[in-house]
Amino acid sequence: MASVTLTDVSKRFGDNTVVKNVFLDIADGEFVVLVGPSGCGKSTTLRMIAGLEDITEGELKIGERVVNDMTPRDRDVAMVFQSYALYPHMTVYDNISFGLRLRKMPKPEIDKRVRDAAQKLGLTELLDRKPKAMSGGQRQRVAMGRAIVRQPAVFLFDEPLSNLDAKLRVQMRAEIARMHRREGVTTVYVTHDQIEAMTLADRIVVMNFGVVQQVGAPLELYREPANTFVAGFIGSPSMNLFDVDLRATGGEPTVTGKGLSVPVPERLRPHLGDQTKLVLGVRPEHLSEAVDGPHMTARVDMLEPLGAEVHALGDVEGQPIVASLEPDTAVRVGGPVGLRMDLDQIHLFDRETGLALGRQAHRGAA
Amino acid sequence: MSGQASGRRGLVWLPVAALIIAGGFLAVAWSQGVADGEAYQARRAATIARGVAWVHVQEAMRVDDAGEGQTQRFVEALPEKVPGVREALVLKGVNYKAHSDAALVEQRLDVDSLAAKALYDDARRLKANVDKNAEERARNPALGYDPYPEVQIIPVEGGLQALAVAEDAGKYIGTARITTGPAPYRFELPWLVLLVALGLSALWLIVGGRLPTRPRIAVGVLALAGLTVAGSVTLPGWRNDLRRAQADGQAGTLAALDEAGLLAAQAPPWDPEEWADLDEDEQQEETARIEANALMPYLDRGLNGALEGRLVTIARANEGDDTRLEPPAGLPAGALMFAAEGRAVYFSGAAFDAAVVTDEADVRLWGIGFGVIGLLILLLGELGQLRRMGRAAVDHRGAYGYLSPAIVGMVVLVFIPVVYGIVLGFTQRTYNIIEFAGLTNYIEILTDFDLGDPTNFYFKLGVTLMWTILNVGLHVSIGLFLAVLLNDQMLKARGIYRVILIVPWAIPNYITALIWKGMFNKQFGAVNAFIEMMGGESLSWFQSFWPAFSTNLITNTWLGFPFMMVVCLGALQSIPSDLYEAAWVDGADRWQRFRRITLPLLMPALVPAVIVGAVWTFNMFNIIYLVSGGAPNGATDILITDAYRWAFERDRYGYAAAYSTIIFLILLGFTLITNRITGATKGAFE
Repeated sequence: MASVTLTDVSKRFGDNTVVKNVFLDIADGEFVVLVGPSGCGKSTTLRMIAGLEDITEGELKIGERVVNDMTPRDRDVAMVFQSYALYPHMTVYDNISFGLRLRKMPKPEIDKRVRDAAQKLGLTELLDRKPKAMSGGQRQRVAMGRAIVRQPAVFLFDEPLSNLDAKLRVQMRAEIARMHRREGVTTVYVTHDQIEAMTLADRIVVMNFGVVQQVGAPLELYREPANTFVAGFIGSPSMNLFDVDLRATGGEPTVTGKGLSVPVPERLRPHLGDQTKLVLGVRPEHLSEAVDGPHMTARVDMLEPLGAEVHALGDVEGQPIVASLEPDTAVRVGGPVGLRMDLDQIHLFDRETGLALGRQAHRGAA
Repeated sequence: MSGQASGRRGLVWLPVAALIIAGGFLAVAWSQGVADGEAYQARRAATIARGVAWVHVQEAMRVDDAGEGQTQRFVEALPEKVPGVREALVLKGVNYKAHSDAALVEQRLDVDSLAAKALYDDARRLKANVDKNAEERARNPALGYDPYPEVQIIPVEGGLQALAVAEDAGKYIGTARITTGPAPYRFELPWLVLLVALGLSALWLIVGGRLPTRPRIAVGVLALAGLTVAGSVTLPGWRNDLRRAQADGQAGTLAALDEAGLLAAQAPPWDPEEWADLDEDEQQEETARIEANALMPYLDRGLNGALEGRLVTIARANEGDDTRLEPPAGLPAGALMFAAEGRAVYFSGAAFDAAVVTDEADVRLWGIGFGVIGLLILLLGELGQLRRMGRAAVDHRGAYGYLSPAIVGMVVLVFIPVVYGIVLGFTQRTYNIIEFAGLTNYIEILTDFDLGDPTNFYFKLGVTLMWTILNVGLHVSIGLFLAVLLNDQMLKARGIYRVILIVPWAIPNYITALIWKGMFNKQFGAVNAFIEMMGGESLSWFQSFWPAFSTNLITNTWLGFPFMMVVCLGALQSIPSDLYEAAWVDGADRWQRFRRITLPLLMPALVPAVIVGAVWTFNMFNIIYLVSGGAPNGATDILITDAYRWAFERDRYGYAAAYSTIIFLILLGFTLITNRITGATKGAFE
C-alpha cells in the first residue's frame, strides 16, 4: 500500500497536450475518483499512473519511489479495464491467477489467494468457466478478482462500470465500495459518471481539457464549486447559471440579470472585488415556489415528477432554468411560476475567469 | 399425425423401392443392349475387314485376272449377305481395288474430299504401324502381341468403320475398309422383373398394412432381395439374342466368302474336335501344309481386342525351334474358321465370349447396386428418415434452389472426378484394355519395401513428410515473425513492407518456380554467382539429393510464408490491445505476453491455416515438378509428382489412381487427427 503523488505531470501527443500540469497527492488508502467529460484527460492520467503511457513532464511517485521510467509490471499496481480485458483463452481461475503465476508465487499460495478472492466476489462456482460463458457482471467481478489477488500497492479502475446496465452498475458500485473498505488499498478510479464519483470517492478530482478543475471531498465540491465548470458538472440536475451584473442599489450590492435581481448575501460580500460582470449560480433544489416577492418568474416548459419532488424545466426570459419543486405543486406546463432562491446557497463566479468569488485557481491550472 | 395414417403412408416405400429396382434393371438392359450391340458390331466389322484383307492377299499372290474378280465379287457381296454392312472397299495406293459400289472399282481416290483424305491418311498410318510392329517383333521375338494398332475402328453415323491392313510377309498389299450400319441388337424388356415388381407392390398395398411394422420391414427386405436376385438371374437371357446375332454375323461372313467362291470345297479340317481326332503325324502334315502356304502373319493376328485397336493374339505359332504351326490351343466354341484355296484362317470368337461373360458380371453388379438402393429406400422410408429428409427439402426449397447451381457444380467438378479416380484405382490397363483388378494396385504399392528405389512408395512418403514438415515449419515461423514485426504500430511505412512481403504470394507460383530454377542453374544461375562472389565454390544443385531438395524447399518457403504472414497479421490485429496492457500490468514481460497471450489467441486462426498449408504443401506439385523435376533420378519427387509420373510417364493409370487415393486417405487422416487434437487442446489450454 502506498500513496501516489503526481507533481506537475503533463502528457503531450505531438503538439497536443492532453494532460496539463497535474498536481495530485493521493494518500495511502484513499479512494480518489477522476471525473470529467470525455477527452478531459482523466483516463490518460490513470494510464500514466499504470505505466501504460509515458509521462512527458513531471514526476510520479508511488510510495517513496519515483516510477516515471518503470514498466507497469514493476509498479505494483493492478488495473481494471473498461472492457475487463479478460484473457479469453483462460478460465476464471487462470485469469485471476495469471499475475501471481507470472511472479512465480508458490502454487498453494496462489490457490489460497484465488479461492479467497473468488469467495469474496462470489465467483467460486465459476472458476472453471471461460469469460465468454459469463455475464457482464460476472466478468466485471473476475476483472476485480484479478486485481485483488495481486494485493497491489494501488488499484486503478478505468470506467469499470460503463459496460453494465443500470441495475448492475448500482450493485457493482456497492461491491467496489465494499472491496475498498475491506482491502483499504489506495485506489484511483476514472469515470464520467458523477454519481459514481460522489458515492465512491473520498476525494474527487474534476478534470476538463486536461486541467484539474477542483479537488475535494464530494460534498465540498457540491457545496463550494471552485468554478462554473465544477458547478455545472457536479450535481444533478445541474446548477442554474445566469449572467448577472453587480450594482450597488441603495448602498446594498445587488446582482441583476435578465428577469432577476437579488442582493448579494452577507457571506459573499467580502469577496466582491472590482469585477462587475459575474455569474450567479443556484442549484435547482435551492429554488422554491414563492407566493409573494419572487426573485424571478419562469415559464414552465416541462414537468418531471419524480415522486419526492418535481423538476420544473423552463426559462427566465430565454435563460434556461430547472427548479426542484414540492411534489404537490400547482404549477402547470405553459404556466408561469414565481421562484425564490435560498440566498444562503447561491454562488457567484467571475464571468471572465469562471472562478468562484474569493477562490484561487487550482494549483497547476493555467 | 395418427399411427394409422402414418402406417398407411409408410406402405408407399416398398412399391417405390421395387419400381426403382425394376427401373434399374430396365436401364441396365437397355444400356447393355446398346453397348453389346456396339461391341458386337465392332468385332464383326473388324473380322470382316480382316477377311477382306486376307482375300486381297490371295489376289496379290495369285497374279491372275480371276483373283481380282474374286475380290471384287466378295466385296460386292458383303452388304447384301452380311446383316448390317453398309459399305466395303479395298484401297491400294490411291485407287480402289475393290468397292461394294462396282462403279468405283479402279477409280482414283478423290484426295480433295475430306472423307477420302481421312481414309488415305488412316490407311497410311496403319501401314506404318504394320512396319513398326514388324520391327518390334524382330527386336523382341517373344512379344505376344502387336504393340501398334493394325486395325482401326471408329464410330461413324449409325455404325462403325473398320480399317485393316493387308500384308504379305511384311509387304504392304492394301487396306480394306468395312462400314456397318446400326447395331443389330435386340432390346428386350426385363418382363419378369417388371411384373414381379408390380405384383409385389399391389400385394403390399393390399395386405402390407395388416402387418406390424417390424415384421413388415423384414418381409419387405426379403421381397426386394428376391426381386434383385430374380432380376440378376434373368437378365442374361436377352444376351442369347446377341449370341444369335454373332452367329448370324459369322454365317453371313461365311456366306459372303462362299458367294465369292473363296470357300474351299473341302470341309475345314481344324474343327477342334476333328483336330483332336488326328494323330500326331496327321497333325504335323496338316501343319506343314498350312505353313507352306505362309499364313503365319494372319494367324498371328487374331482379332481379339480389336475394339481397342490393338490385337491380342489368340492363335499363334509356337515359337519353338521347329516353327511348327499349331492351331490355337483349345480353339473356343463359336470361333469362326474357314479355309479357301488350300489356305486356312481362324477368326476366334474367344475374346468376344470373354467380354460377354465380363459384361454379365458387370450387369449383376449393377443389379445388386439397384437392389441395395431399393433396400435403403425401404428402410429409411419405413423408419421415417426419408420423409423427414423430404420435408426438410420442401421446407427449405428456397435454400436448396439457391444452392442447386453450387451443388451441380460440386457434383460435376468434384464428386464425379473423385469417384472416377477412386474407381480407376481398382483397375489395371494392359495396352488400352482396362480391367477390374481389385486391390492389386494397392497391394503392389503398399507391400513394396525396397527403399533403395526412389520410386518406392515408402521412400516417397518419407521425402513428402520431410518436405511438408520443413516447409510448414518455415512458413509459420517466418510468417509469424514478420507478422509480429509488421503489427508494431510504431513501425513506419508498414503498408509498403506488407505489400512487398505479399508479392511472392501474388506471383503465379509456376513463374516463381521457373525463376528459382534458373537461379539455381549451375553455370548461369544467380545463386552460384553469389556463392562464387563470396569466395565459395559453385554447386551442382540438381546432382545430389540434399542440394536438389534444398532448391525445392527454398523456392516453396519463398512462396509459402506470405500466406502464413497474412493469416497471422489478421489474427494479431483481432487481439484487443487492452489484453496486452492487462498482461503488462499483471507483470508479463514481452516474451511472456507473446507466449501467454499472442500465441494462444493466434491458434484458432493458425491451426486451420497450418492444416490447409500442410495439405497444400503435401500436394505441392508445381514446385517439385518445375524446380528439381525430381532430380536426381526421381529422388526428390514427392508422392503427388510420382503419381503424375505413374500416370503420364509410366502409363499406369490404375496404379496412379490408387496412388492418388492413398494420398487422399493420408491427408484425410491427417486432417481428422489434427482437428481432434487441436479441439482437445483448446479446452486444456494453459
